[in-house]
Amino acid sequence: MKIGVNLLNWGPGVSPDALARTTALIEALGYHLVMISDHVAPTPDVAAKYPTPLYDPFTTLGWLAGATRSIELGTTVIILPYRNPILTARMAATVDRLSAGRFIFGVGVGWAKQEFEALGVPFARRGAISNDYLAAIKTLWTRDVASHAGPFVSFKDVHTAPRPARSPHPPIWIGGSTDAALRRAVRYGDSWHPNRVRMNCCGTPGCRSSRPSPRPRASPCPRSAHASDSS
Amino acid sequence: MPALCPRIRLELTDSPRPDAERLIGQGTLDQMRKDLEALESLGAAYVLLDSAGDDPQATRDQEPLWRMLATLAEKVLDLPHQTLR
Repeated sequence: MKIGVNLLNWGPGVSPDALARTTALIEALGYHLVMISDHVAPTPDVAAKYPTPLYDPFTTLGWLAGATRSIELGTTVIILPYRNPILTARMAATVDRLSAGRFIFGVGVGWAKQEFEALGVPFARRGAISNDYLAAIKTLWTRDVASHAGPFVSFKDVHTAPRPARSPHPPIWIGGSTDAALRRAVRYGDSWHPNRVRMNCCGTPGCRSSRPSPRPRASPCPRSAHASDSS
Repeated sequence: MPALCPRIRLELTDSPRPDAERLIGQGTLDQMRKDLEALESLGAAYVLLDSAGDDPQATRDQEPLWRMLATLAEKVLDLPHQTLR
């Protein structure tokens, strides 16, 4: 089991020096992974939890790729539906190249309705948008010239190079603790990335003594407290 | 099937916290060890430790995080072998 650290790329104490020093310490201690968060337009609902300054994750990870040697670098999580998927695919592939295949693509559907409104993205469709964007991004990562026709994004004959360093693509972690997130993880992801887990959340008194299993079951985590994502 | 890679709290305390009132990763070093053992037994491929608490101002001082990470690496985690001590 590998252990990673959520590196805080937001808040009043964050600076390039703090990011670099903390990452260097985490790598020196032998941790396997550093991940950072994403918000594009911190509206009041976001800023209350993630106060600025808030450093962009792709740019920051590209910079950290050059400052580290072996630690994996990822996102926890990119808010997928409010970023253009063609641009997202290119930025993620570039970080994977710059880090020699150390990038992990953690994604979520988002929770901040005001932020979606600021960006002109329909909050209620964020799950369906995310599914379409994931399919598009996987196509972009695995074809030299990619085309996609979906309900929310369509393109034809887009030249994609550089492809990601990892083949077929960087690991995709699906964030969220809803049933929809788990379905999305099974369909599009390599990993399920729930947050703020309670060990007894499945309601089974013997949860802690569950038999060892090589794969997660559907019920170790609670339903999300955030707005519904039913897609 | 996807691998399990949860993000859990990293909040070490001197006194135990009641299991019913805490998230995974909140509590003493011994509680953290048991939480990680349980996740390992469930087959977790990665665990991401999250020090972000309810007070954003805490980001001004990184040293408590550094101390917790060093303590975990020394007393609980066997990072080179990707398991627990």
